[in-house]
Amino acid sequence: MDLVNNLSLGLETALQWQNVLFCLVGVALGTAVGVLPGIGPTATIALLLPVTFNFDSPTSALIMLAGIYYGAQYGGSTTAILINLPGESSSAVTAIDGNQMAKKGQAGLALATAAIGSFVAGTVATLVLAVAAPPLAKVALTFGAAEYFSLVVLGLMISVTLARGSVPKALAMVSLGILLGTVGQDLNTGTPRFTFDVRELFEGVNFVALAVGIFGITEILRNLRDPQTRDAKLHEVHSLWPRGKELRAMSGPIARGTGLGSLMGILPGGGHILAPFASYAAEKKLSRHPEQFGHGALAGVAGPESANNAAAQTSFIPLLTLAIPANPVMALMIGAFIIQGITPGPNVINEQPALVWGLIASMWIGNVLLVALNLPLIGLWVRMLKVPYWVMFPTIVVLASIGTYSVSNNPWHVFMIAAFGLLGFVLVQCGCEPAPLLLGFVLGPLLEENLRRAMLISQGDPSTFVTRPISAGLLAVGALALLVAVLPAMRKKREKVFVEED
Amino acid sequence: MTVVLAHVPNESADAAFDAALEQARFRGTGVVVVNVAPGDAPVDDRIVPEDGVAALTRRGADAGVEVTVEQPVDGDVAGAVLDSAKRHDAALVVVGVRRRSAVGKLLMGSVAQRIILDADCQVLGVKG
Amino acid sequence: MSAPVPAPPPVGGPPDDPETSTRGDLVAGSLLAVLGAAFAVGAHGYGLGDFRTMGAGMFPFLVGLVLVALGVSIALKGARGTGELTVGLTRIPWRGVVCIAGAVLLFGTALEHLGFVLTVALTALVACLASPTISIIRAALCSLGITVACYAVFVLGLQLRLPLWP
Repeated sequence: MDLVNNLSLGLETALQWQNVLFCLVGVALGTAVGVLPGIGPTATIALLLPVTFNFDSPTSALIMLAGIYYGAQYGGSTTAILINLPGESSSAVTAIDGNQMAKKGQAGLALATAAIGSFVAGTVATLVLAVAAPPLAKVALTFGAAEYFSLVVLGLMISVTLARGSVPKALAMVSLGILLGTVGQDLNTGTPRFTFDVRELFEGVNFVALAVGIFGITEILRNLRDPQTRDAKLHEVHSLWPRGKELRAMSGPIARGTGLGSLMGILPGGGHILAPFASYAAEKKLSRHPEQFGHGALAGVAGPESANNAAAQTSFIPLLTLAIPANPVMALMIGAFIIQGITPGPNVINEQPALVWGLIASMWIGNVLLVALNLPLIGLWVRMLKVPYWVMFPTIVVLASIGTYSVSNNPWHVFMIAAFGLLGFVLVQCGCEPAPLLLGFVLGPLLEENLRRAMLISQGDPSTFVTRPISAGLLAVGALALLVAVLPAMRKKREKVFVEED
Repeated sequence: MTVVLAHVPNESADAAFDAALEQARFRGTGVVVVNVAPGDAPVDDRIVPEDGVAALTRRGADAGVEVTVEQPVDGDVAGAVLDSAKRHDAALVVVGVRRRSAVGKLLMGSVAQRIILDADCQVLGVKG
Repeated sequence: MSAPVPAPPPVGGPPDDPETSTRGDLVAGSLLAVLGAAFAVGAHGYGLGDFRTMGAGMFPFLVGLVLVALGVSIALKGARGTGELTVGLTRIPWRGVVCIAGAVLLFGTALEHLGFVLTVALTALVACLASPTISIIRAALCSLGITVACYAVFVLGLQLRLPLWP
């Protein structure tokens, strides 16, 4: 029984007291930052990433990062439910019915439903991850350059499909990201590209600086333009634990949400963003009382929250097996792996079994800690929101600067934060989304390397990408995804899911 | 011609609201309640929540005075109140005042003071 | 108050916002096209090679051209008024832009000369001033607090090795 052996090895690693502690600290930090509006999981991890650099053990560092990720996810849901202030796009769905429940005096039930849904989904998806990762890693070893290229293209196309706003803009953001990824020394020829003879730019654009700039700084500037403020009336939280009837009512949505989320999380390109939306739409369609949606339907919280968490879990699969980040958060995790001296990919699972399985087991432990930590501490998290912007913004700016500088003691990386913050602000105000840019940046070097290698092998014949069956299949799915995004009927439907609630 | 009330939910708020109602009844006008959100934190207890707004309107209706509530987001609280007074061509601005410590005054400045000094119409300061 | 906003956080403003126009598309498209062109021209200089053995410039050159094409098409839509409605560059919070960007640039420049403590204090102070309503006394107190907290976390807690004083 490989699975049992692997999981017990993982639990053994994850249950070492210092790893549990790091996971707990990560969950707490992640929740604290995650409740802040506009600071979603990506920005949270980018801001807190440097904290983990000084750890001796890479396993502890990654376990803490995973904890931060879950904490940030759940923190977003908490404020979405209590004060209709979703911290990031995936909890925007939770806010629809969760906040309505809170207004009806069911805040406790909504929070408990979110926690239970997340926990069940997390547990199941962890098992999916444990079962699916090793065989997928084997498949990944058979991938050639052409397949890798096509897989990356597929991931980028899906991220374009999921971006809000127009498709050309999302494509342009991906392209800009890829171009930013080419700055620095060319790996094949050693030619320094776009460095303007600045030695500090030879190692390329710094990932943390880019992420902090276009997510963190951009968000601060947007908020200075349009301050978001809500009344502080907290809907009273009582009767936390659901009764039998409610448990039965939520079981179906949780099961379906878990299934949907697990599948979508694996998709490279940000399936985790789509999962809660898809689950909400599905529950609304399946429900016998669709008119309740938007007015505090339990299923409208249970389904999306489960889908969200399941997808968060399974999006580790492409990262661990193919070294392809499924979303910007995973892109940051790759950055963390590399900083810790580990090259992610199909071999990690064999070479570093304690690390991989420890990470997987710690995801489950992270979920337990989330439930244990967050329900009693809700009041504290919400108090975070009373911190005035004039304290919050300078703190974020200082943390981002120290963090980015400490990655490599390079002041140019700090300058990049400002540059990308301004660029991000202009582009986001004009309706361009930053997520595809970040993904393009991370996947760009992979894309270029595999393109060049595949073309070399095929003697300069580009048909290699469509004559190899796996590669052709991946490209076809990518083209289909793009087609779906462009088709007007589909676009309308995507918007309709939300418009009806008004 | 209306009565404009600068409203912040604090200890003098009730007294100020009652005074505004009384003045409005006396003048035969409505009351415009201006509840400014400075917008400097994600959540703020100086903003009157939805049911609080409903309660204000109801109390106005009980007293036979039409109460409308405005909730602008503006960092300059006094300026927003004065703007509203000008827009509604207010006959009177009612503002609640509190006793403040010296340090408190130094740090926060006074919204009431600015309204009193800069308003074009009469200003009624109500102590809570 | 607290309008039921179910849609994902808006990119730009709501559609009925009087500030929105398709001018944003013109701005974004032009900016993207210029950036793409800059990358393509620069990449051209690094040697394109051929499709079998691509030079260092080939890949960025091609992607740069793609970006130019996309940027131009977005900008054209914006100019014709058929693009997306966004708030674009209306009401730019200049004070915030200058203070936030300035704070970050200050940190990068000053750290190696002034040391950790003074740099953090100055950076925090400048960033505090981004809020239009803050008083200078509050900003100073806030900056002091952040400096103490950062000292505790990064110097005492994480043992970050940085020069502390000039």
